[in-house]
Amino acid sequence: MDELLAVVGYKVRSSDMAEVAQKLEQLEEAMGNARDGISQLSNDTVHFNPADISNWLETMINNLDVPPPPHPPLPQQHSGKAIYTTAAATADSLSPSSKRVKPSPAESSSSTRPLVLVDSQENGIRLVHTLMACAEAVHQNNLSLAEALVKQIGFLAVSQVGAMRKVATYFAEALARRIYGLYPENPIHHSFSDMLQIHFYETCPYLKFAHFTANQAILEAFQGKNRVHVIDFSMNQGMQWPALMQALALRPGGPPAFRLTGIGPPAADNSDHLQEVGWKLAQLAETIHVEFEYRGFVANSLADLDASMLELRPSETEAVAVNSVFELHKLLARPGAVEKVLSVVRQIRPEIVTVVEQEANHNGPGFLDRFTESLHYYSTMFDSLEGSVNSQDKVMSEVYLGKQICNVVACEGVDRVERHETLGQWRTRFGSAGFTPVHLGSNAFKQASMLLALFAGGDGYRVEENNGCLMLGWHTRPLIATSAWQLATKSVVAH
Amino acid sequence: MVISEVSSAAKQCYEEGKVQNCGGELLKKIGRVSCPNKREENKMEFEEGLLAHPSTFFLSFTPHTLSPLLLFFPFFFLVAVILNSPHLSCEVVRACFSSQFLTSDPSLYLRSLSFPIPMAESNQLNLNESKMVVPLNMWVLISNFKLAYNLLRRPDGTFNRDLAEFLDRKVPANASPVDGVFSFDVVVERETSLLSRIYRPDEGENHARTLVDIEKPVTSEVIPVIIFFHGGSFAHSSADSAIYDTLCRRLVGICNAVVVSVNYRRAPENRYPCAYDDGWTALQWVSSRSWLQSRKDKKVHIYLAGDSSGGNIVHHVARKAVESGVEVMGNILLNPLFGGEERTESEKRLDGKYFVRIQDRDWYWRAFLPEGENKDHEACNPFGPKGRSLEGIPFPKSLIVVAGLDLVQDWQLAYAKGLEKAGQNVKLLYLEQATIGFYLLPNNEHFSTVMDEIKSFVSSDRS
Repeated sequence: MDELLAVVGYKVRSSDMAEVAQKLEQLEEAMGNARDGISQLSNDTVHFNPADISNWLETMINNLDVPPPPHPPLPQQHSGKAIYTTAAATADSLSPSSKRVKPSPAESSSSTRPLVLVDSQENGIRLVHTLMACAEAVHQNNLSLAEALVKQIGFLAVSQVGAMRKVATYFAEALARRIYGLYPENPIHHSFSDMLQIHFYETCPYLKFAHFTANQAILEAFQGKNRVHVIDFSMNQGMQWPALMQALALRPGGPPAFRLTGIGPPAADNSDHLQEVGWKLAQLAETIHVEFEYRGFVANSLADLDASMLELRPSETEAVAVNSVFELHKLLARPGAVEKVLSVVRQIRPEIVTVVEQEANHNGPGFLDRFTESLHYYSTMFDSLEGSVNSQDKVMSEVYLGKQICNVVACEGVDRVERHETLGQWRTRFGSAGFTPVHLGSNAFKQASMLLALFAGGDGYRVEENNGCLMLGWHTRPLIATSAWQLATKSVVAH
Repeated sequence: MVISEVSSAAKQCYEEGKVQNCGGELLKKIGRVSCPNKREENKMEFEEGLLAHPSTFFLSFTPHTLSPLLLFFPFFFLVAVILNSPHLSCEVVRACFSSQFLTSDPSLYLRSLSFPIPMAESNQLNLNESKMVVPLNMWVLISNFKLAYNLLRRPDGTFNRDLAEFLDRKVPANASPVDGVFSFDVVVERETSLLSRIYRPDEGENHARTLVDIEKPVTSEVIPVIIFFHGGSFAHSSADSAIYDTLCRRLVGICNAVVVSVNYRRAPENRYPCAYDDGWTALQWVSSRSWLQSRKDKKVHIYLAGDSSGGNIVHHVARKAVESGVEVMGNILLNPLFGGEERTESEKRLDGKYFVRIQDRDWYWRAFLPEGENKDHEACNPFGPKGRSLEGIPFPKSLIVVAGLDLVQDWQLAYAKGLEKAGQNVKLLYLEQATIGFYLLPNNEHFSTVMDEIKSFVSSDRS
């Protein structure tokens, strides 16, 4: 890869440089010649992964039906490097910092720490200072100091306002639980956690974005299929599926037959809530005239699943999508679990696997690092909630997030399930497990952006494209990431 | 001022010599071609020959049938004036005739001489022309931007913002130091969601910063704080665009400064004066941060810097600062965006030649200026008919970098002249063979020249 271009976000092999240059010229010429060429490329064409300039240009050239160039490119005697080799001879006059800056893409190091500061008031700093000092004391097992600091946090938090106060309160509570050994109940009653999730769903766009972008990828993967089957690892209230079903109903040529397998943990009161959700969706399916089949599947952990349990049908007759929203990271609490699940997914032979996860590393080995990372992450999250209108929803959303904070900070071992990892880390896992990326494109990006515009107090939400994945963040800090995958043995999907 | 004399002399020659465009292209090619094995020898011979007998040297070099005097007259004149000027150092001359432009393909040279070059109207020639003056990867980078930007501007004056944000390569801030620099984003003004990205030198601590120590006071006796306005013709890019994040990081390392990159609101959604207002808000914010004060005098040593539209913003924010009594120690304008209703010679001569067309420039001004206003608006043309005088005003000293292949250079030179006439302190750096965006990658001599200049510009008050 050309290093200088890599640093500014583009992936071009040095050996391909001349060819890319030629494509640029070719496309420029074609755009000039084609009637409405520009407007076509701008409005109709779906763009993918602009970091890969060569393929991006190729897509557009194909879209414009450009004839191949008359002569092959001039043999390039010198690559980009040769030109500045001469300049390098005069490099003594260059200051050291102007030599190449090492690229630091998110995937290469887990030490990348994005940081958005919204509150730089005096009190806020003292509060954060005390929180960090307390975490450090806990880390060093100095529990008497930690106890003293936790009490101090309580006083300081009271004088704070806004997001910082709430975040500090949750972190302080989590620290206190860790200090006193009062671990939170596990599992919590499902109807309570479901309710919290519903409020979270209404208050801020994270879940909606997750569902929307995953559905977009599933819809595209199901194009042309007459019988489709979605296996949802994150069934909960089934809030993702009405929108997909409606989109399928409106498909030109009519909807496919839609089968849904919803997987979830057992309910504490032994109620069959998964079936209830299924019933509601069946009623919806009837009103929109979509042939619908449902199965609810209870499992303590996704790792308990085997492909044989899922009643899969031959892939010629039924196309499968596997969907997981904020579930996979929980598997990291047990060694081997995520690998088992991914191998089961492989056996399912899905058309597409859609994954949404928190964009953070809350699974590092050291407690202090985890504490710091999550403090930054949830500060940004809470700040994004500040603008929301409905205070009841807001409080519930904060409780919902507060439970995650508690788990990250107070729990350990198999109880610590909120083991978030970054997109870069998930990419590595999926790659090793035999999957290749399916890129999300500019159409999904645009629609997601329009979705965000609907949120009041939501000026700060931003969608970002990252090597074929989409991320949603608050200001410049990405908070969740949607990626899509297919089996590596499949032929390359032509866009 | 010597360099402006050079360019007007060149202008004069072009008019007098009435040299056709094709001759001009040929001229440029001859100046830079030699055989691969003898490259260094030829280079020296070339430079020596130039110094000794410019006109006869060229005569011996070309078998072309066109009258050599007509062909070489403007170039010779240009060179002679350059050589006769005492102010220009060898470095600047080297910037004009850099060895980087020597191609190792002799067949290209011969081909260019044997076959008549068509009139320079065709796109093909234009594309090849720009390829001769920049390294290939830079050509790819800038051309890629050009192509993307063409997709985003709509004829009706609207902008495809969603596609723009999709295509723009962004990087998050990073509180872990990389190459001695760490960064973080700050919400400067909540109501307008005005963010700025702050870059700080690591000072050897080598650990990731947290909310606690991110705003720790600077330790230096004197440290420049450079408020940076990214370019993009008022419509493109952001503070977290990868090209600008990289540039700002380099500035920190080279100048040992703090850099504050302002994420100002963009056109056409936000017209004049939004960008200036945001710049002024950021300036006030920076000047009130106690942790940015230099120890020596407990003041924030502020410099304003920007490229393209950012350079334009620098001027207007500086003006506002001076009128409000906030001290700015210096302005740095890299290829700043200025214009006017008149069509200047450089705009006509360079239209479409080096990545930029006049019609594109016009689109951006229409998108930024208030509806119904033309390019003689003060924002675009501060020394034009609607401009306000800067005479007697304690305007900051200015460093103005002009790329010789930028079609708006006449406006930039006029800006420098305007400052000079108003009695202001101006330093002009004219880089004859530089195109727009040369500072985005470090693999060219213009980059190092400019960085050195910026470094000394912001370090003048250091002990």
